[in-house]
Amino acid sequence: MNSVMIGQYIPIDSWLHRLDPRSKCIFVFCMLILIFFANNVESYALLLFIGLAGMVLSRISFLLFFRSMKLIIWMILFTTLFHLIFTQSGSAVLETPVLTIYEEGVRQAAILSVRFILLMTFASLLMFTTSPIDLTDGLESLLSPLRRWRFPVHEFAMMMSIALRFIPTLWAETDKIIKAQKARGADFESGNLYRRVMAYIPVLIPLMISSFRRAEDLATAMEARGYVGGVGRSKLRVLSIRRSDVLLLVCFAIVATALFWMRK
Amino acid sequence: MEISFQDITYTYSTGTPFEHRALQNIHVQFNQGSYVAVIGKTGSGKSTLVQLLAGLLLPTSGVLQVGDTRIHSRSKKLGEYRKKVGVVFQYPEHQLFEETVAKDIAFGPKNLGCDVAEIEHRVVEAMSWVGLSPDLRDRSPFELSGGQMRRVAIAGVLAMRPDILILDEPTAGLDYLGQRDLLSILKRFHQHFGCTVVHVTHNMNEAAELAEQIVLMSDGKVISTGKPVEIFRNLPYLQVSGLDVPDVTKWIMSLNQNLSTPVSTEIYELSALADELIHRWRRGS
Amino acid sequence: MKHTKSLIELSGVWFDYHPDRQMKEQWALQDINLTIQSGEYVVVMGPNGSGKSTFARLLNGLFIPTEGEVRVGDFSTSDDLGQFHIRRKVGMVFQNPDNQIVATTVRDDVAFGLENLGVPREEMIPRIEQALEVVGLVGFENREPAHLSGGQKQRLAIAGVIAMNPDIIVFDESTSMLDPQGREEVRELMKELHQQGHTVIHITHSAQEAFLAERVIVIAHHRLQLDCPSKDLYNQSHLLEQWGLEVPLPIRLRALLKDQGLEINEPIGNSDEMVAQIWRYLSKT
Repeated sequence: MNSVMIGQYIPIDSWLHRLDPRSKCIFVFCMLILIFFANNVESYALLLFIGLAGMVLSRISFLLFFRSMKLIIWMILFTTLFHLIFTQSGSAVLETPVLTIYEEGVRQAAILSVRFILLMTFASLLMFTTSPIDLTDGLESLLSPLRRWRFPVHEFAMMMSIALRFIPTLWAETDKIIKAQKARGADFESGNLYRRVMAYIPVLIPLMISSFRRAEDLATAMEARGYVGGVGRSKLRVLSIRRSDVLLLVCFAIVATALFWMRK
Repeated sequence: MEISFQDITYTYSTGTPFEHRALQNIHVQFNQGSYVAVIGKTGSGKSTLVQLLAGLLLPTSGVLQVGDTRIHSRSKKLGEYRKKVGVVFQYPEHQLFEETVAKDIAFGPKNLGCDVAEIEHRVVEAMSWVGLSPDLRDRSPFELSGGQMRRVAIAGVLAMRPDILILDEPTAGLDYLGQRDLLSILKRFHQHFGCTVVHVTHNMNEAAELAEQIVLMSDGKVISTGKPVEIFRNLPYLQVSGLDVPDVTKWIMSLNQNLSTPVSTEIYELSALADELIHRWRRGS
Repeated sequence: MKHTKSLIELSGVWFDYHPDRQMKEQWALQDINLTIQSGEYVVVMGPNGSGKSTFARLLNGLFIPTEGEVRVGDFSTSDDLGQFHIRRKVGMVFQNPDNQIVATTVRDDVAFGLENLGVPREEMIPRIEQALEVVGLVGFENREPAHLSGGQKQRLAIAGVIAMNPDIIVFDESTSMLDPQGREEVRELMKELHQQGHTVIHITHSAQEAFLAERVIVIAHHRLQLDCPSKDLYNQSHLLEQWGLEVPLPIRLRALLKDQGLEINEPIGNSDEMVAQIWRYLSKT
């Protein structure tokens, strides 16, 4: 818990932070598709440049982005290795008695690595610059057309927001229960896997019971404050598309066109 | 076992923006078998202090000496030490988990490695200590009232027969009768087993009534420690720490404003105050 | 004289969660009859498990009487339309500060109730500001609830309620889980809300809090036992003991003195009057 968690919102102010969560969601989602669409060096250079520009605009330290890369470093290494060993087309680049590495293998490994890095960069940009509540609001708004097919959009968003609200509370509670059971002699550190898992039962049961109690209390409190579901509710938070959001989407359109044109 | 905190400092989340020094250069000693009350506002460091004593946290610097055990920043394997310390956390009923009252109380003794007969003996004994009727033993603890659940949880700690018993606001949320009952149970248990009790509380009446030694904390430091009289005599200290004097003391002080020979403020029990007043009245008439 | 209609009226109210499974003598609340006028400050006192929280929940239609009727203004909690209006009229602050905050920031939480009522955004903003000002949480708008103290969380809950402009605010043991400082903050706020013209109903097991109100209602053993102005309670407070409630210190002292032959028969309305009486007896030489 000492370091900033991966994907955690970084509450500072920047051009990216101020954007409407919906335009950010759409932008990032479409970028993720474009990443798989691109197939040559120039396109990737362009995408990397955009990612870099995003990082600068977010005013968040590069170190944090680098740290989130650590999460996928094994995936990158594994796929790179996989392609270097098993892809056998094109001319041989390196020949050793045990293994021959082909040009296509190097190409594929490079493309995949860059794709992973790009994916992580854009996902981090979204998570770092959008508060969970904005993200929830944005998703609720984007998903609202699904209401026509009876998808419970409001309930879904409310659930997400309550979950976010209670994470710190439950975290503190877990810590307290672990300490209480430790003080009663519970041992969470020794024995085989089975014993260790079983040792957590005295933590999980009280935690579940308290969560049910909290849920019940919360439901009563919500009812007392006049909550009857999404119908007829007004909203304090309004999402508004501003000039900068339009600018972002225009940028996106230019990039997309450029990528089509560069595609071979 | 004598307990001595030697220059103890504790810092939460060292090296992050959330770094927070909860305890600073704590020096304090508790005598073997004494009843100690730790008082102070929320955030004064009381809870951190007792979690260190319970072996649940390690000091950032300094040494905690408990009998022969020395606890410092790199101490390992505190499991054995923890077996000697019982902790009743705030709202301890929130840690119950077993199917029956008896099984839940047995959890601690079982972890201590007691044999079946010994466990059974301790469960029966602990239930009677806290005043739970024996026919509740096979009931689910979750069917009981809040007050009874609290008793089950406390029985679970008492059944471990700790040398050091830590109580963190044990009466929080109980009504008046529940509070009185619980305090008298804890007092009797302390007298019977002679364990050292460290009782964290906001309630000055509890501290005055039970404690032999009071530790007054504020802002992560021990401001003052001594007998109740020594602490409650020092009003300015208390007020700086955001605390008050016990109700009896408050009342005696308002009575003393009108008396030429004041009533001693060393009286903390109402019956003792009544005796003193009767004594004066008889002498007067 | 103008005839004032009572704001809340309970007539012949019986309630139980499982009326079909319980004998009527064991129902959670039995035969409650009372009226509360607009602008009153009432304390409802009772030991844990007496039915006082059930009583609170009958007032805003969270529970519907099994028998009898609860009327608030012109509406009855027993019909759906009535309930809708009553929820707007009767605000409720609960016991556990953590479990009644819905949103992830202070401002959003105050907004929650207003959003439910469909209040337009332009109207919402000043109402939120005003409510936060009343409870003293201006400057905390973007704070996450996890970073508030217990007292602040309860004040936030109160802000959420008063933003909805209720006539009546019910505090259901809202002080019982707080530290002394938080408790004081909430009590102060209750007093202020009463002075601003709200009808305040405070459910508690603390006898000390009873004296803060104008009128005291005691619920014990599932029935209404006492309903009197709080200034009369002092003299009747020896009764409190039989319901498991705390008796004020001077009254306990008076009883102890009486046992030893010093009988003080003059009526005592508060602690100072007891001080004066004792002083009179001691100086009668």
